[in-house]
Order: sequence, then structure tokens, then C-alpha cells
Amino acid sequence: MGKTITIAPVSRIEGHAKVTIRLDDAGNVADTQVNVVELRGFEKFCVGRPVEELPRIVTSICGVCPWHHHLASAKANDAVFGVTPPPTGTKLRDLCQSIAYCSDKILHFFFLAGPDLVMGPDADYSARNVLGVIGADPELGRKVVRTRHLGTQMLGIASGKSIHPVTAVPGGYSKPLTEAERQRMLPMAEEVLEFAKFAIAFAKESVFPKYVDEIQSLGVIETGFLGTVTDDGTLNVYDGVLRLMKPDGTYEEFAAAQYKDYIVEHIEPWSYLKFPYAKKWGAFSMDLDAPSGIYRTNALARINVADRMATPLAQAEFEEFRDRYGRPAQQTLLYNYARLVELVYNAEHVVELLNDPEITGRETRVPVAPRAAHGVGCVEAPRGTLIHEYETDDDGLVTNVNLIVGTTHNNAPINMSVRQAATSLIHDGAYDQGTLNRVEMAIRAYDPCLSCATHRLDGTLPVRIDIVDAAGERIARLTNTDEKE
Amino acid sequence: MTRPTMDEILPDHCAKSVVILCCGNVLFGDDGFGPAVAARLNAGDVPEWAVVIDAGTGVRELLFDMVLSERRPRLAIVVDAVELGSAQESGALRIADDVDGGEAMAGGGVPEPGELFEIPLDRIPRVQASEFSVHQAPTSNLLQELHDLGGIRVVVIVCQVASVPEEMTEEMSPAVEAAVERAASTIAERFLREPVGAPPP
Repeated sequence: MGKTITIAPVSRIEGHAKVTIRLDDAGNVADTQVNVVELRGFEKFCVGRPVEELPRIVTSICGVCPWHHHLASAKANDAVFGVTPPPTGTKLRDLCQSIAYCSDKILHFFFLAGPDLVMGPDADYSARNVLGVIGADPELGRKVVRTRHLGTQMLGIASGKSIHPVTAVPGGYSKPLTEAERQRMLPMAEEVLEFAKFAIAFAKESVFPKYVDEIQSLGVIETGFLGTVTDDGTLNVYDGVLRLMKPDGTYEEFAAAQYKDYIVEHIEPWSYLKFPYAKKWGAFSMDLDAPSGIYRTNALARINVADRMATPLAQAEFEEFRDRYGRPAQQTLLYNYARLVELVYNAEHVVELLNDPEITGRETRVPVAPRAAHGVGCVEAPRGTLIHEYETDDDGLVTNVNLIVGTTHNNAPINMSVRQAATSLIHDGAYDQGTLNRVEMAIRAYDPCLSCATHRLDGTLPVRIDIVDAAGERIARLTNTDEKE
Repeated sequence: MTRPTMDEILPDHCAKSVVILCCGNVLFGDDGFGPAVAARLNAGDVPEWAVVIDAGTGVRELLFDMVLSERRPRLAIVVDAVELGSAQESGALRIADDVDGGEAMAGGGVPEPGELFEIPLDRIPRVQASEFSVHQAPTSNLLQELHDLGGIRVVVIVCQVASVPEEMTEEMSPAVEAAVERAASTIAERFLREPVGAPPP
């Protein structure tokens, strides 16, 4: 009789997802589904509000990447009001974007994915968490947290608030950076860069070599990729054109405002979350042997679509990565590596911006006036391309809103990687905790943040796997908690 | 390069001896209880040895950093909105509002919307696993670790929600709205009157 294995929720990813693995009568994987609950009502909530309020409101959607929503919203506002921020305003936004990136990358690598990698997927759950990592290397723990303190402090200096930012406004940035503030931030930024260099060296020497086999096999699927680059193909996380690359490496570029010409959304009856796919690549299919329309976002996608990096140390890391894995690299676990290349870039970029004389300019914003308009704002959030689209009436009040968040782009690929991992790991009904941890690793590589997609979040709840027969009766439960029946 | 000193970079949630972390999403009705309590407390006098943080939906990052920081608070109070189910089963202690500053006493019965409870830390994992939380409540493991590893006293104060809407709205139910003031008074009375000592070195 067929069985269903449910992993609910996936621990340590941000939000709530339920993984269901259905086995056939022979005990092999018949189907898999990753379910999340989509956030509902944001559009209705926004309609009728002054559009300039949205950059403030959107930071409440998500406690994981408030800065990226804040900036995408501010950029959509620029477009709605038809203005271009002065160079200093743009650079201050870019500065905050890159500082927030550094903190996010460190969080993910050391706190969320790191435990799998450092402790190993077969480690007991009680050790396979951040404290296991810290216990194994207390000095590393201290460095990680100190560096995160530096990021929090820098965002506080640049914006007054690091949790619910309000400083990006339509037409620019509301708070110039003083010379004294710049001087306080610079040594902090230099220390973050030192840590970034340490982190990637540490990962390359001590972590990735242990996972050579997993990198080549776990969750590997063949897809296209989407990311933002400047006119000359350089990776950029704040601004540029969107580059949509096919699995064969050929690509098209388009302005974010044209996204609907290139991306459409597929709906599956079992998932609240939509499945964006490339409009011009044929019908949507998540078939592992013949996927169609599927592209990925987030760090690996950005590294794949880019021709080069803007800063020297990141460029060297980028070249080493590409020499080793080619273009486009399809190995899902390489997200973790790509994330560290991006950490180095963003850390260098923060130092670079703080050494730019324009960063302390006094002209940080231009005035705006309400009008009926339509505007799209787009940044690269750590978890993928983040698109905000607004329409307003003559009074500047919102009439329509659409968002595509980073994790949503990766909805289909996450489902495919889970299927690939489960299919390759579960045979004849045999699986254990290590097997299921590996399935989770494939998901966590994407660093999915479901905060934007759900309000019914269960945090970093432990994993629970229910095995259910075809009649729906639970016949066994595997759990990695102290939970009792 | 001169490295910044720890005093220069330590965020308030690690530097103060009492930290009140108010969690919730203001866009989802009663889930905005925590942030509303934060606003109410911050509108009054918060002593210099304490900090009240509207953590919104981002409390997990703050907790990670608190657990691992070189310096940590002595006392962390987590304020949250929950669907409690049966108070007796969850181990939640009802906070009486007819006593100055509130007083926790045994739960029991079905919680009414707007009722305040204190949840003993050792009861949270089991409760959490039953998915009682209506949103990104701090993870039980992190709170436990805050206590075990950090040596921090952790108090969890929650408000029973009337409902959390399916779609976004900033409007709280009257019962939960009324509980904001009671919760703020209780917290101020219990935790913000006397310092619990200087932050550890």
C-alpha cells in the first residue's frame, strides 16, 4: 500500500512549509510537494493609501528582509512619481542594501545552513543547530556575532533604525550621512570585509571539501536563472537590467518594468503560492527529465547570469567558482558557496561606498508630486529578484499593487530539488533521519524565506515526518524533537 | 585599522540589562498586539537600564545575536499574541488583572480573547509543537538556549487573540486592543521599576 511521508514544518527556514513525500506500493517516491501558505490581502490593504507610505508599510511584511522590501518599494515610488534620486541618495540606499546583505549572508551561512554543513547531516538534531557549531568552535561563534553586531550598528548609523527602516523615501533618502558618521562606519565596514574574507576561506578549506559528493548530487536540477546586472554584465544587487538565462547559457535582458512580458505565473491546485516561469520557454513543467519554463533566483542565479563582479576580491572568488563549476552551475548546494562570493562583494562594496566622497553629499532627495502613474521597483533581495509594482490615481493614492518576492521565483525549483533529492535517496521504502535531513538541506540551500508568503509562521520548529497509508491513517511518526505522542 | 570596541557596536538588545521584545505583525489584526505594547511602553518612561524593542516579525535574528553575544541582558521579556487553545494543557499561567502589576496564577478553562498569560519556559516546546503560535513567535529552542546558555531569565507574556484575520488589516479586536494597556502596565510594574543589576561584564 502506498505511503505518504510529511515533513512539517521544515526546521530553520524562515517560515512555514510542509513537505509531503508520497511513496508508491514499492516504497519508491511517487510524488513530492512543498506547500506554503501565501500572504493574502496585501493588495487590498494598500489600495487607497498614499503610495509614499508603502516603503514604510512593506517593512512590516517581512522581518527577515525589511531593507530589501523597503528599497524595492522606494524605487517603485520613484517610478510612480517619475523622479530620479540624486547620486548621494542612490548611494545611501545602495550602502544600506549591501550592509543588510552582509548580515543576511552571515545569518544564513553560519546560523541556518551552516549547521548542516559544519555538523553534517547525520549529526543528532540536538547538535545540528547553531549552538552545535558554536560548541565546536567558540571563537568562530564570537566572530560571527561580532560581525552581525557591526552590521546592525552600521545600519543604525546610516538610517537611525535597523529593524523597521524609514529612510528611503520617494525621490531618494531622507537622512544625509555626516562625515563623523562615515568615519565611525568605515572601520566597522573594514572589519566586516575581513570577516567576509575569513568566511569564504573557512568554507572553502573546512566545509565544502566534505561535501564534494553531495554538491554534485543533492537536489541537482537543470533550470534557467534570473538576476540583475549592470549594462556591462556586472552583478549588481541594487539596480540594473534583469538577465534571464536559459539552461544552455544564452540569455535575454529586460528592464524590470517589462517583467510581465517575460515572467508569468502558474497555479497548482495543491499550493497557495504561485509558480512563476519564463513566458517564452514553452509550457510550464516541473518534470525532472524535461523541465520547461523553470528558472531560479537568489545567489547562485546572480553568479550564473553575471559576467563579472564589481570588486577585486569578489572577482577573484567569482573566477575560481566559475573555473570549477562552469556556467551556468546547476548544483543546488552551490547556493551556499555563491552566497559567500556575494558576501565578499557586498562587504567590499560597503567599504568602497564609504570611501566615495559623494556618500556624504547633502543633496539626498528630490521633491515629488502626486500623479496618476504606474511604476515598477526592483532590487535583488538575498533570496532573489524582488519586484514591486504600483499604480496610483491623480491624488497619488494606490489603486493597484503586485509583488513578486524572491522565494516565490524559486517555488518550482524548490519543489523539483526536493523531488530529485527524495527520489535519489529513498528506495524500497527505506529512509532514516539522515535521509530526511538531506532532503531538508536541498530546501535550505535556497534559503527560502516564507515570511513574505505567509503570516502563519512557526519559526524554526523542528521537523516532523508522518508516514500515512493510502487510507490516510498515520502508521508511523519520525521526529527530531522531544515531542511525545 | 582600529577595531571598534564592543561598547561601540553592542546593540541595545545585548547591552541593556532588561530587554523587552515585542513580537508580531501589525498588518494582521490581533497579531499586532506585541508592537502595540511596545509603542505604549516606549511612550512612557523606560529606564536607561532597559530597552523596549518592537521586533515586528524579525525577532529571531535578535535572539540569535542575544544567545551568542559576549554580553547579554539579565532578563528578557517576550511579548506576543497567541491562540492558546486550552490554557491548562499549554501550562500557561493566567495573569490576574485585579492585582497591581498583575500576578500569574494557574490557568484552566478556555482562554478569553484579551486575557494575558505567562508561559513557563519549560512548557513552550511542547506547546509550540502543537502549533499554538499564530505567527513567528520566537522559537522555543532559541528561548530555551537564551536561558540555558546565556544564563538569562526569560519571561514570556502572551495575549489570547480573538482571531487573526486571513487578510491584512491593522485593526485589532476590542478585547485585544483593551489588553494592550493592561499588558503595558503589568510589564512596567513587574519589570521596569527596579533594575536587575548592571549588565554582565
